Amino acid sequence: MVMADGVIIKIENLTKSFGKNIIFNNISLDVKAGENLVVFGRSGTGKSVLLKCIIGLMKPDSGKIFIYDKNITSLSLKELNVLRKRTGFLFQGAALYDSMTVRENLEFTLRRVRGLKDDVEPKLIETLEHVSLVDAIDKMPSELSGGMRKRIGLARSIITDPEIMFYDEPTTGLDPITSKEISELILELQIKLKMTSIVVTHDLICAKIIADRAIFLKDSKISYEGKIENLTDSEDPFLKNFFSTEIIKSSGDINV
Amino acid sequence: MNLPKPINKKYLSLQEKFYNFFVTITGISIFNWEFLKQVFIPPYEIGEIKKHMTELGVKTFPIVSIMGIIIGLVLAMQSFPVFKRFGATDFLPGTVALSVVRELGPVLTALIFAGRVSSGIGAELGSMRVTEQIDAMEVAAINPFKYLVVTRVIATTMILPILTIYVVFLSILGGYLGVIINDIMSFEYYKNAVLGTIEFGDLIPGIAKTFVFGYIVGMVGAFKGFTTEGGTEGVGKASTTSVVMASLLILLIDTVLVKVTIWLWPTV
Ligand SMILES: Nc1ncnc2c1ncn2[C@@H]1O[C@H](COP(=O)(O)OP(=O)(O)OP(=O)(O)O)[C@@H](O)[C@H]1O
Ligand SMILES: [Mg+2]
Repeated sequence: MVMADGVIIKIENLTKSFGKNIIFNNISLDVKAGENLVVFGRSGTGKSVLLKCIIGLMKPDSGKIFIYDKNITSLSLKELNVLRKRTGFLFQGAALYDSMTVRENLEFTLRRVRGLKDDVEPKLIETLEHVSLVDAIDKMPSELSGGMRKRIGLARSIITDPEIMFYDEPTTGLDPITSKEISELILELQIKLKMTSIVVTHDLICAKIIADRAIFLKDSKISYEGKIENLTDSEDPFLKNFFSTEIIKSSGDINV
Repeated sequence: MNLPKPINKKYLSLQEKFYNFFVTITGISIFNWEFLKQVFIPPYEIGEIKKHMTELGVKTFPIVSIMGIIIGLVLAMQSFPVFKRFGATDFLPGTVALSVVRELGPVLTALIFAGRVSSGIGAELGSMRVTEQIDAMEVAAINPFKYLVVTRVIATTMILPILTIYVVFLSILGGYLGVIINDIMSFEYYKNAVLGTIEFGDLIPGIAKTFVFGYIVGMVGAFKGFTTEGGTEGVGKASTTSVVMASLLILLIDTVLVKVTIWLWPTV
């Protein structure tokens, strides 16, 4: 299942554009099993689009994307769904189902993905404990704050015990303490469950906690790649500028 | 399901409008085809269908009740002087009942239903689309078309005939009110006059076409909502254009169906 060298996600020569707006120009990327990869990039560089391409929500113009050893760009919906059941996706805006309570949001996802018929209450509580929101179980999404929605979104995406997780800005809009807790949760999931993750974030503190490796998207390319210290300590003027400002504004803006 | 995309900008030239019109026609045809492909495949989501039917029923019950009474009442009040002039008031109950059963009941209920329900479905699915809730279902390997669209279309198709029968019933009662405001007529007499006039051939086409109208209302709302683009503004647009499109389609298809029924039941 896993490809050579323990690679679990492989992007080959991906190109994607919206009309004249070229988002990715021929990028390639490998993610190893059990690795936490952090994706940086300024707003609008295509971080969310990258995640959506990998999970098959958006079709690339050209290029191949492998999850395990399957090229998802040429799978039938049925085959793709088999893969999707083994992955989790946290949307930038949380994407909670408005018409359902928190409990129903989690239960609906868990039952559909895992096909469970028996009592799932203990699992719901356990997952909500991870994000410290057990009290919110009977609330509607509209009664939650932006940061709470984000955490429920996170709970909903990990409740199915995915092998691969995609996080789109998991800590944006959270206070520094909660933000740190969520980062530690992501790390814990990696260590305990051997989860592989791609994490889009602006939050440098979070990135420093979780990242094994980081990439930086710029000018439709992966312009930098390497250990996170190498990026943050880089003498490159652009990176220097980016990270000095990002520290100050990290976990400042809400994107829900 | 790959739907063609309309040109999305503020001011469209005539050609672009024409192009978008055909994009919509193509899109809704593909949407219909997808519905037909999926409706017979399990899971049937019976729970969801029941939930939507109840919601739709509860939501439209007050307005169709008022409408039902008033159609009959107004029709009888308007016609009474005319019938009186020709000394034909005996025919009034039958005439009211016939108009209501064959045409007014089904079409007016469908139009009210479209106004209330198409817009609701358009807005609901539209906001689910722009807040990525539909995408969230997709990445959880849940079929959003089945779960959101098919269930709603089935619900609207099943509930509208029931509402229509109820409206027809109320209208005939309303007709009696319209008569006794003007004249003395026993309910017994009114009832017999109505039952003596309406035949099987009048009932069936009137009710049958409401299945088609219900389908249109669900389909148009779901299509507009599911294909919403452009944030909150797009949601508003999906909601209003659903009503316009559903109402127009109902009137258009009604015209065709009236012709067809007259051709099928020539004796009446
Ligand atoms: N459905 C779409 N249609 C057209 N253009 C799109 C679409 N989705 C994204 N884009 C464009 O792709 C670019 C990248 O968008 P994306 O959402 O991936 O940015 P991002 O890096 O996630 O930014 P942020 O940090 O603000 O979330 C943007 O310029 C955006 O305008
Ligand atoms: Mg983004």
